[in-house]
Parts: sequence; C-alpha cells; structure tokens
Amino acid sequence: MLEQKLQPVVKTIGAIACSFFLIVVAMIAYEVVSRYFFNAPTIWSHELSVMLCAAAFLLGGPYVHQHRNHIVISVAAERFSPRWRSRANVLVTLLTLLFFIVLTYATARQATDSITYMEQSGTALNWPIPVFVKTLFATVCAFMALQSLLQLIANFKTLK
Amino acid sequence: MDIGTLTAVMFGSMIVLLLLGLPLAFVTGLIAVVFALGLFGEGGLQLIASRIYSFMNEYVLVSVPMFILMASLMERSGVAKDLFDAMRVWAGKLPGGLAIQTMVAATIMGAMTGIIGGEIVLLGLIALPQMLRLGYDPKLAIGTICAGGSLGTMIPPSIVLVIYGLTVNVPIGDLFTANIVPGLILSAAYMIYIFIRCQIDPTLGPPAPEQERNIPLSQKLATLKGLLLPMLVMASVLGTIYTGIASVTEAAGMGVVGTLIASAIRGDLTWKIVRESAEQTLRACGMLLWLSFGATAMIGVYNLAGGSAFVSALMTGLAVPPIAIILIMMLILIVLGCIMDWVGICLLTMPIFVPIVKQLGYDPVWFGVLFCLNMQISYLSPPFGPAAFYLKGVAPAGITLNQIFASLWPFILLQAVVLILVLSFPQIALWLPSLN
Repeated sequence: MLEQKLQPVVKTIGAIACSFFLIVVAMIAYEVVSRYFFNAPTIWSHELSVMLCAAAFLLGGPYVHQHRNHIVISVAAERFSPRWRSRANVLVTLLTLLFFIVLTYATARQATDSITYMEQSGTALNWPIPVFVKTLFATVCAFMALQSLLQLIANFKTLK
Repeated sequence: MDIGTLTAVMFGSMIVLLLLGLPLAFVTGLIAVVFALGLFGEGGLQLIASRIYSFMNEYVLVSVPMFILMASLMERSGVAKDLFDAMRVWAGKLPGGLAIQTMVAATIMGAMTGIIGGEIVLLGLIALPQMLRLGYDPKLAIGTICAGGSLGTMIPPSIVLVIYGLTVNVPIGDLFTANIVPGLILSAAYMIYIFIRCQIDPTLGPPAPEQERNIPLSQKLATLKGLLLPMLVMASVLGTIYTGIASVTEAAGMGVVGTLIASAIRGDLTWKIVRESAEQTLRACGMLLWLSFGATAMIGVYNLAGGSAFVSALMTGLAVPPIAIILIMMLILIVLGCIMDWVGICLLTMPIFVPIVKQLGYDPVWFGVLFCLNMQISYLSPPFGPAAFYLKGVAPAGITLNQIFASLWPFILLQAVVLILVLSFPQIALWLPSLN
C-alpha cells in the first residue's frame, strides 16, 4: 500500500515528538530546582516548554492520522452494507483531504507572514519561536493532506 | 442566513458528518473552515489559523502531556499494583469488602492521575479477576471498576479541569481545590452503595476464604509500604500546587519526576517503559489536541457570526428562574455527553455557557465542578461511554459491552444524585477554595 511508504517518516516524527515531552520534563525539573533551591529562575524554561509541547502536539497529528487513532463514532457506519460502507469511507477521506488542503492554505499564509516579518516572541528570550511553530504547523498540515490523499486512493480502490 | 438557521445548519451537518464516520476532530474542523470561508471569506481562514496557534501557546496546556505521561508511567511501573495489593489485604470478612477497597485504591489513584482510561484498564486487569474469583456479582464488580476508574478526572488533578480553566479563563488551582470535596463525596457514595447492596444480599460480594484472610498483622503492615511510593507521588503533585510552590504545569512536571523516582526505587524503571509511556502520551495528545483545534476553530467562527449572543439571548429570554437555565445546560451536556468526547463538549459549549452563567450571577468555578461531574456521567453512559470500552478491552472473555453498560446504571444514578447535590448546595464545592 502506498500509505505504508510514509510509515518510516511517521515513525521518526513520533520519536522526535516523544523526545520533546521528555525534554520538557527535564526543563521543568531544572526550573523548579533552580528557582527554589538556588533562587535563580531561568528565562527560557517557560517559553521553550510551550514551544516544544506545541511542536509535539502538531507532530502528534500525523502520528494519530497514520494509526487511525482519531475518535470516530462508527455505530451508524457499521450498519451500512459493505458496498455503502466503502462508499462512505471514500467520502470521509475525501472530506478529510479537503479539510487539510484548506487548512494548509490558511496556515501557509500565516507562516509566510510570520517569516516575512521574522516574528519574534517579544519576551525576555525574544527568539523567533512563532516563525518556527507557524512554519511547522503549515508543514504538518501539508503532510496530513498527503496522508489523506494516499488514504483516499487506497479507499478508492476498494470501491466496487 | 440568519443566526437561527445557521445554528441549525451547523449542528445538523455536524450530526450527519459524525454518523458518516468522519473523525470528530475533522468534523468540527471542516465545518469551521467551510463556514469561515462562506461567511467571512479569506479573513475567516486567517482567523482560524491564528486562533489555533494561540490555543497552542498556553503554558497551562503543557500540563496536559505531563499528567498523561505521569499516568502512563504509573500504569506501566508496579507502583499502582502495589497500591491495590496493599488495599486488598485489609478487605477482611466484610461482604463487598474487596469492592470497597478497590474503590479506595481507585480514589487514591485518582489523586495521582488526571485522566481516565489507564486506571480502568489497570483495575480491569488486577481487581476484576480477583473479584470474579471470589464469586462477586459481575455487575457490581464491573460497575465498581468503571465508576472508580472514572474518578481519575474527578479527584484533582484533572485534565478536564485544566481544559475547562483554559477555555473560560478561571484559575485552575481554584478548580482543583473546589473539586476535592465533590470528588470525595462521589467516591463515598459509591462505597456506601456497595456496602448497602452487600449488606442486603451478602452473596453479591463474598469475602475471601478464611485461609487467605489469615494474614499475620506484621505482614499486613508490611504491605502498607506499597502506599508509601504513591503517597510520595501524590505529595509531589498536589503538595506543590496547594502550597503554592509550583504552578499547575510545574507540579505536573514534578509529578512525572516523582513517578520516575518511585518507579526507580521499586527497580522497575526501564528505557522501554519510558519510551512506551512517551508514545502513549503522544497518541493521547495528538488525539486530544487536534480535536481541540477543530472545536476551538468551529466555536470561534460560530461566535463571530453572533452565535454566543444568540444562545445567550435565547436562554436568558426564557421566563424561568436562573437555576432552571443551569439545569437546561446540564441536560444539554448530558445529551452531548452521549455522542461526544469531553474535550469537544468543553470547547464547543463552555465559551457560550460560562458567560451566561456569570451573567446570572453564578460562580464559574462552581459551574466547572458541575461540568466535571457531568462528564463523569458521560464516561459511563451508552452508547459511547469510554469507560465501558476501556474495560471491554481487558475484561475476561465472555463479558460483553451490553453487560458492561447494563452494570453501570446504578452508578450513573449516583453521579446524578451528587450532581444535583452540588447544584443545590454550591457551598459543597466553593467552601474549600473560599478558605484561601
């Protein structure tokens, strides 16, 4: 299946996102300890935790999409005849693809604006974190559009 | 299109798309982008993108993966199993004793974790076979586990309250404090119910045979060591929040550290456990967050079209006392709870409901507790009660989903009673936070 070709990519994405969570744990522990025992709060822990979690949340999208872990109400669709069920599946993946195409467009606009002005976080750290997150958002949406397209092709083949 | 028609069309298309089998995350997202384009053109799309972006940028949201990671680590390490074993030896010859002890263990676990799912799976694997072996009434045993396991989001910490606080801008620490007493009342109500049922008919929950109960006191006391590590974890989370040492997010992070330490002390901390827990966290967060993206986008578009004002005028225009409006909201939440996930419900309804609640002069913290209780009902109520599905995954062969749902009615009733109790006496929830 075509979709399986994306599996190694999704696996890597998943591993990266998982490591982000663990890094955030370490950063929070560092922050709490250095603030309470050494009275030396950091300026980066807060902001980088938010950034890494946002990135992990975004990357969780393709991961969940690949493994079909989204919450679905299947009680009605399960009662369709096999023929209608495969038709419904095509429609569902078509709508999903449509959603991601529009979302990719919207987030790409957001990202290009951010890149153009080299948008910074406007805090003590003042890194271009918004540029990073917004660009990642658009990239993830484009990737999920690709996943949806491959799922659509696969579902289309099951039509009788 | 006037706002009344728009409401009907949006809600109608949501139901149709859901029944077609489109994931909830994409249903709300798709409706959001279609209506944004239709009503506001390109600018509407920009609004959606920036709304989702700012949603991700909340520091409190970082606590969600931390709480999930903590719970995943706890399930995989032996910490939670020790807790159950420690409770089990104290069941004695009281009819229904093991079910009551299971409820005690579930309550303590609820104070360590902020999600549901893992706890039900865990209790389904360790407590259910024990109860069935002793000849417990399967219905009572199943109900105990599903209801007890759902306490994870009722006894603070709770990610339901985190998302609620984030959505309506209420301090999460206050919400946690307010939920303590109602959570304990709910747990006590379950225990009293089990006790009474087993007093009336002791065959529902026979005690362990004499030779199993005959454990020397020194050995019984030794099992209490199993309580030590869970207490350490609890202290590292709740202690840091209530003493004000750390924010909710930091407390959640420290909870992960506490769990890692507890697991290391037991000697069962491995890289495999950490990796699997992180993967489970990613899966749960991917699901939860993308669902939130869609819901927050949809409600953003709806409110921009005047939806919030419309519903508000509709509700406050009713010639009924304010408390009746709260009751109507509760009914809406219960109905939605039958077809939707709690995150979706929270993000879709709370931006509309809570301003009305405030306008009527009620405390949004109290309403948060009511919401949380309401979601307890949604976990158990058919046809999509997640608690039942979690248990089905691990229950012994032969226990059907119908059987599980049939077991849950008495517990749903108890939840409704506690909900009405907190609704009638807001002080149950608000007394503790008012002490600060």
